Amino acid sequence: MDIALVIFCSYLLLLLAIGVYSHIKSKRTTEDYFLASRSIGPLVLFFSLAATNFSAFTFFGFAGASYKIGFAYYGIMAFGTGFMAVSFYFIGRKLWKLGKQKGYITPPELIGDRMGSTTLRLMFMAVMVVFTIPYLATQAVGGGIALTQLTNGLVSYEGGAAIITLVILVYVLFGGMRGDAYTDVLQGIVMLVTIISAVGIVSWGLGGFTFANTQIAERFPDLMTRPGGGGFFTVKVWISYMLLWTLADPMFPQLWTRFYAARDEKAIRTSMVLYPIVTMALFLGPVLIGVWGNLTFPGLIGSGPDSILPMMVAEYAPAWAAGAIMAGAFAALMSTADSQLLVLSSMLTRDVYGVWLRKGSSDREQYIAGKVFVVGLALSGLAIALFRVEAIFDILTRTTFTGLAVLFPTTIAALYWKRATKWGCISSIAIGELTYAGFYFGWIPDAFSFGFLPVVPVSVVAAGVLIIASLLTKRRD
Amino acid sequence: MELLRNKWFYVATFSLIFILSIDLWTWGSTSPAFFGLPHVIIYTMALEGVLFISFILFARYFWTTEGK
Repeated sequence: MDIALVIFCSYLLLLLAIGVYSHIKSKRTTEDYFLASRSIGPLVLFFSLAATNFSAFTFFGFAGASYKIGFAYYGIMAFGTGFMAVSFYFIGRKLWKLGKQKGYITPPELIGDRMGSTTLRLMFMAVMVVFTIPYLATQAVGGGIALTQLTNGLVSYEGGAAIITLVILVYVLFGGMRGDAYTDVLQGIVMLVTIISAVGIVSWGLGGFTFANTQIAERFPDLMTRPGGGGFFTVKVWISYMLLWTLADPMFPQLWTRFYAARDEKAIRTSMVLYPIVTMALFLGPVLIGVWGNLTFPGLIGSGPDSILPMMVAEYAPAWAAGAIMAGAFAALMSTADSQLLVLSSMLTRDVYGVWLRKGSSDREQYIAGKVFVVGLALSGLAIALFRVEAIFDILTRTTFTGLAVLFPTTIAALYWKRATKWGCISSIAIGELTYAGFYFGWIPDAFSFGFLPVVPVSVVAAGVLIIASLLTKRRD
Repeated sequence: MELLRNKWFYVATFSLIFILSIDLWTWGSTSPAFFGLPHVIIYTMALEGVLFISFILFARYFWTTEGK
């Protein structure tokens, strides 16, 4: 275990070193701190988009869901996320162009400016912040779970969450977007190498790759097919998930700002082409290990399955390898959390501080305010993680993804539909979120989702309201 | 070659790939395909391969020229 800790600590130190290096290269402006002066090239952008998109959920929640539901989870995650890269063209390219022309740094800046409304800008920001903070907290939750597993309980859940938060805080504070992007390259590579290694080691421990799968087919046949464990995957739920990633992922503010940060269109184009390959490779590991977990640790319930990946690694890998493999899980959660921290800070700085609190504040002042917000947000995320622990899967699918998908119609309208009005967008977001709240809290009967996940009826309502309200209100200039 | 520069070709291609991801014809299959893995895994990997090739064509022939 000592060797595992040494490997893990070395990894953390390397991240901190990259943060310091990025700080040395930085220019101390908001554009440089939040967007690396729009200089991110093709390969760095690809790794950064991928590492940012793949979170603690990829390693913990996804493996846990596969433990419960089965192999079919690979279909919706790998293909759904790979297909989402289509949006790199019709959203990412457009964001990059407008960002470069107009100097936008945050997503709400673009929406507010395009639609001529400060109210809409604030509303758009509020939705992004509200639905990103819980997601940020899940990264700290993942860190707590993983570090406890790695140290066999030597480090408590609370201590683990605090350590991970602190490391992320330091390199984001010093490195900004440049530090984020460079660490994403390291974290992306670590993720790929470690998950492939984990599959090899665990399958070896189970008696071979084919043998492990055959055992699952014999002992847990419901995990081989759909609807899967618990009858989870109906056709409508399957379709809902396929749509969910395409509608929600581009609305993650941390992915949005990466399009701003791209050096040119080639960088975005290259990222799109490579995306299906990385989703195909990376998602296979967690689903295999999650499903195989039924052979070694049958009967886990509640949030227990969320720990199946570190449990399997600890069971079958030698101590030194366990440390290295768990670095992959930490890479996944840290690469998402750091980006969320930075983009949340940029929105609070540019869309709240610079517009409502200190209008006309200098760039230098906003640069400092951005760093203060980074500290405050990191501590807030940690506090949420310490006081409320749920299954990661439940938190993500029930709040963040659908909550952000409501912004999709407004974004498309702001980019492509000249007849869209600010009232159309404001109504769309307000009624869309209310509809989602109705489904989430049970005010609206489930029957009104017609068997789909709430994201489908909520998106239809948000798009419909936007169109109708825009046609009924005065066209913008 | 002209076809590869037509935006409707890609609208149709990506729509078809998305529809193919809803593979109702193997929905209840429990028999392993390769290496003991179920059909859904192999099928998804193959579909991702097709998506990758489509993206290459899209980037090579359409995104650069912006179509016509």
